[in-house]
Amino acid sequence: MQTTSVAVILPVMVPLLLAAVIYAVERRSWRLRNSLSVMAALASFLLVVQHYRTIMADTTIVANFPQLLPPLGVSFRLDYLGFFVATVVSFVWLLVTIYSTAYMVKEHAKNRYYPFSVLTLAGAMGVILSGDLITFFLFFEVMSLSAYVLIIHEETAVAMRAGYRYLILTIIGGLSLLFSVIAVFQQAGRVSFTPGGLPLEITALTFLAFLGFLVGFGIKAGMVPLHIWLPEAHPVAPSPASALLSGLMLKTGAFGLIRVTYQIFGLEMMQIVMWRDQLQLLAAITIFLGSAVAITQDDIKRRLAYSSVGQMGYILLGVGLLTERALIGAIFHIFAHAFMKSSLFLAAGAIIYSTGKRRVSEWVGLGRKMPITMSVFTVAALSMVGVPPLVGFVSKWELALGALDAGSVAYVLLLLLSSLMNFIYYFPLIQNAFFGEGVAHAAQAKTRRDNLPLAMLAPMVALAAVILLIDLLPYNFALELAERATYSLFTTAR
Amino acid sequence: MLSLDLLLLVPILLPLCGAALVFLLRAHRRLQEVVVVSTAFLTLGAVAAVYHVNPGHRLELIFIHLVDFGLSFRPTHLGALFALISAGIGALVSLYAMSYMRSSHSQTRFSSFLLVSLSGCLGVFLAGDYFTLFLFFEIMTFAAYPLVIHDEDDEAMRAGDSYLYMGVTGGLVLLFGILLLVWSAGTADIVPVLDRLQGGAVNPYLIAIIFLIGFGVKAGLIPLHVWIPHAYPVAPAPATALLAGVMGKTGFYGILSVLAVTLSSSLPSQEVSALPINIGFALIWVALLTILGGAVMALLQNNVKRLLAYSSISQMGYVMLAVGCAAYLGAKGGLPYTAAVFHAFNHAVLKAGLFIMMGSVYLRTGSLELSKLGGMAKVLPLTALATLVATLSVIGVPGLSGFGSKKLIQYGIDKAAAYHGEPVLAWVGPLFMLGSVLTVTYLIKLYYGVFLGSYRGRGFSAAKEGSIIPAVLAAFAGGIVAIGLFPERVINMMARSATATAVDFGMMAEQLGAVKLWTASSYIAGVIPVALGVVVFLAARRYRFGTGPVPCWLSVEALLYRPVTQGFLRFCCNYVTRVEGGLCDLYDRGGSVSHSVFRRVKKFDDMLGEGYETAQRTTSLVVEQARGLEQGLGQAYDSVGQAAEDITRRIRNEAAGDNGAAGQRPEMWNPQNVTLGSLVVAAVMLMVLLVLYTVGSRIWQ
Repeated sequence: MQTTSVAVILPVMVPLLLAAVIYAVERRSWRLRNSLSVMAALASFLLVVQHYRTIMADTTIVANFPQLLPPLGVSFRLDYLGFFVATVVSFVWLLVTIYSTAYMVKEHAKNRYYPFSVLTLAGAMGVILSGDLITFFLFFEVMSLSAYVLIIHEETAVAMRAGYRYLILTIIGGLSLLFSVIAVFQQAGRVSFTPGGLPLEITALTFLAFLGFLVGFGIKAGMVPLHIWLPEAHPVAPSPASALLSGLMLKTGAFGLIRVTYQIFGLEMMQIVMWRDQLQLLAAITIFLGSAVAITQDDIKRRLAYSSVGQMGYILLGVGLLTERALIGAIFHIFAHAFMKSSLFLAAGAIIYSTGKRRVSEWVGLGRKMPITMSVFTVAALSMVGVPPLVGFVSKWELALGALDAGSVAYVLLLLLSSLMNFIYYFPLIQNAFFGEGVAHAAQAKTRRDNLPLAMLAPMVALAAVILLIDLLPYNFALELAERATYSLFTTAR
Repeated sequence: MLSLDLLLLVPILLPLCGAALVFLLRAHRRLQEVVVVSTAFLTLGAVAAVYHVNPGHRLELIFIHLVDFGLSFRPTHLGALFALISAGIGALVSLYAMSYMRSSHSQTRFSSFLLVSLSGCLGVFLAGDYFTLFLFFEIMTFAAYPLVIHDEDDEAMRAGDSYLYMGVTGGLVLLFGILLLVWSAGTADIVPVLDRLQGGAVNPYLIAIIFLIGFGVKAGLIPLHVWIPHAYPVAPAPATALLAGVMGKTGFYGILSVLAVTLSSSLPSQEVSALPINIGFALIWVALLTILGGAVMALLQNNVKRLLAYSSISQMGYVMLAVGCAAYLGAKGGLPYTAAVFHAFNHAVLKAGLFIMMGSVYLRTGSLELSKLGGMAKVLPLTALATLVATLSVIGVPGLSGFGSKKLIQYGIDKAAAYHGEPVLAWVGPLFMLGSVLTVTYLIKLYYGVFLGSYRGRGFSAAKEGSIIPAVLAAFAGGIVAIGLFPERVINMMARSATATAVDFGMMAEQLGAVKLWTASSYIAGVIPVALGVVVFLAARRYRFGTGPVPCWLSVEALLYRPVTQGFLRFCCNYVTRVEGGLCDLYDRGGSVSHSVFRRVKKFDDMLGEGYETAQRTTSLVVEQARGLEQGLGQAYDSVGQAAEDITRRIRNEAAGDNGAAGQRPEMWNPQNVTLGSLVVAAVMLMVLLVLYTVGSRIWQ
């Protein structure tokens, strides 16, 4: 069922307008600036969530504006997949923004940070809620370019270099996306996301279009070998920005790939052609390389960034396997990884904020000094490893069963090996912080609430609580939504 | 509606709540102790209730949507039995820990994680499917880590790493097995699914082996045992007792469930599947390796707890041997099945007891090296007596608990050897005897080294034992004696746990009925290994065998695990990082190549500009020249015209003046005729030629 409602564009437009408003008022009052930034994310979240009932009644909400950009038209679409990802993104964005109001106090150029953060949110929401490729592309560029400002925030030589690398790759990605959009338009005559896919012939041009999408989304999602901007850009950005980039922005790449696979090319076509093998192989390399390189990193944020590369490989693998359970795992992992990686970056940020220790080897005894922060970190890290009943376990379980459905035992082994590698690079951190001889020597006076402002502590704890508890709820709505999103993609595909 | 099934949640949630309470009561030591002990005993009560109710009314609790796949609790008889044993040991251990840990640091951490581990263990035993089992298995693995590394010195941290990395790897292997099972059988329930597995996409042998490896890590099968000799000695005595007595049994329970239930056929088919037979056959040999390897290594140790750790491995080998026989015999395997359960039960009690007893020794002496102990019988008479009872029981002296189970295992071996007439299996009996002899030897070494002779250490600590520790020791010793005196009752209790397994119940009763424990020949058979063991011990003492350091080539860890893990990490560090670096280089080089291409393009662009400029300059020059030429030509035409006019005019004038000299031809080339005008014309013509020549030579040069 489909209804038309202009309300779909509100989660995009409100932050877009608020970004301008913040830019206008921020010189007068920093309080107003901060609260408006939080408001933008909150509004976005609420404006998405209000459609819960409609969505759960199997209804897709669309809004078309054919008069904009004449031959193609701009359109928005809110279905299960979009609703789920939009809820996750706006909710985490809200928590991270609250966190950043306290974290950014020590930073310079706050007046530049906030409007661009809100603008990036608008771009991300636009990407998720767009109803066709051209709208998608439009917001994708908005998001990518405004994220550049977040990355180079420190404006050091390293940051500028990382930002340059990001920018170059982003532009390459954007252009290859544009190429693919044009190719699809030339073949099918329209570019809107259609359940079951557009009527495309299998030609060389279609394959080139697929490659273009793969490059464009792969760059955003950190797929090896297009990931090289990621471990440079995430560590230099301020911690809340790293949480946004790593936790949320990477997901738009994977999200786009799901959209394109199931609603542009269509499942039928993807099953005929052999492109999925390439996608699976790239995902497998991504998983292994990301996890392996993470083991060797000493800078905590670099380690987390490489971990993100590996984890994005899970999602890409889930998309490439083309089985229902694998896709459930992939979509659920978008949610799981958003929460896990955000809380890891926020916890790492809290530690850098309060002690300045970026190197993993310096974290001795931090569990005594900052017990809450380190507990958050531990919960998220164990969830990354896939310890039941934490949230990361469920996605791994579904992905592994999906891989078995696709008949590839090798990928199951790879997933398990990667879990072990995750353990190898997360566990020494936890161990250093809580246990060992050094801890007793480094015993410092206990601090109340980790000596952190409440605005930093509360979002971290909220994220960790979700990671810890959502699988133990009698009604796991995240999994339910991921399942429904998958079934809707699969049933219309048949 | 409050149903009886909710009883199942109590043993799992109660310790968790207790742990939370302990954590909240950080500031109140006394209250903490009360909470820990009362929680442990209440849990024991709850488990006893479950055990009591379960045979009549099969308890079942299912949460379909919890943790994706759904959790279910449906204890098998075996599970309920082991939950009871675990809870009992857990309660005694917590009581003991209360006074043992009183002077230790981080008591809050120890107590709360002790309770969480207990909850995990009970969850494993009460789980109704492998998924739930795995969940609690992982909780148990992680929760026991703080117990292992409690001392937090370098050795403890290394042992903890060994424990946890092995544990996590084992867990992942187990998860792999469960995934394969769920995928090919469609269910994770602990029910017979062999029919569904056969002819499926996954080879059932693969599933069996993966499960054996996954659970084998916890059970301590050689070569998966390497964490045990590290972790048991460094953990505090109560933690070791829990690890050896309870946690090791989860591995055993898992293996027995897989072999006796999951990999058995639900249909009474005529054709007996070869799978349990082959797997059982293989397991018998692995178990023998475990028995003998563990015993030899125990003999070589000089640290009391390390010796006991290897002894624990060796004893789990006995249990696994019985499990292997049971699987090999299939439906006729009632006797070895009972033997396995009985021996596992005995081993749990004995090893937990022995570790606790050695803990008391450690409390007084502060050392566990055999070279620094001795003569403790005078100092700790009660402990010495309790240890004597436990040691004799492990050896298998009649009248104590170990006697019955060892005897049953021997009967089981005989049955297995006779079953298919496999000639190789005839060797199992003698090797088993060899294991018994070695067991006697190392236990004498232990007892002699600790309690007899003279004290070789440096004084005692003043710590008073209090009244709790002797009470706990007495409870263990009393239990051992009680089991030994009434083995039939215990055997019946164990045999009942075979309900709903592959084992044929009637046949088992028949087999057990035929077993005669209290006969003279069985006493004599029990004495032989003891006598041999004493001889070996004396011989070894004479030649000072086993007092030096353990040769490193005996360590599986040094031979297998360390090279593999280090190789893998080196692979990650060196090669993959190099690939990653190479990739970055590639991009950078791509960048610089494109830069140089751009530079080339710029140079080309410059050249083009230059070319245009040159062309322009040339053009303007040409144009200038052309203009000069045109001017020259114009002048030339002008002059020519002038000259022509002059000539005409002159001719006209001459014609007018020649009226007198008519008919006379005018003489043009007469030198008088060469006027200024004709000279000018000639000069102009020359100039034009010259200009044409210079322009032409410039252009074509």
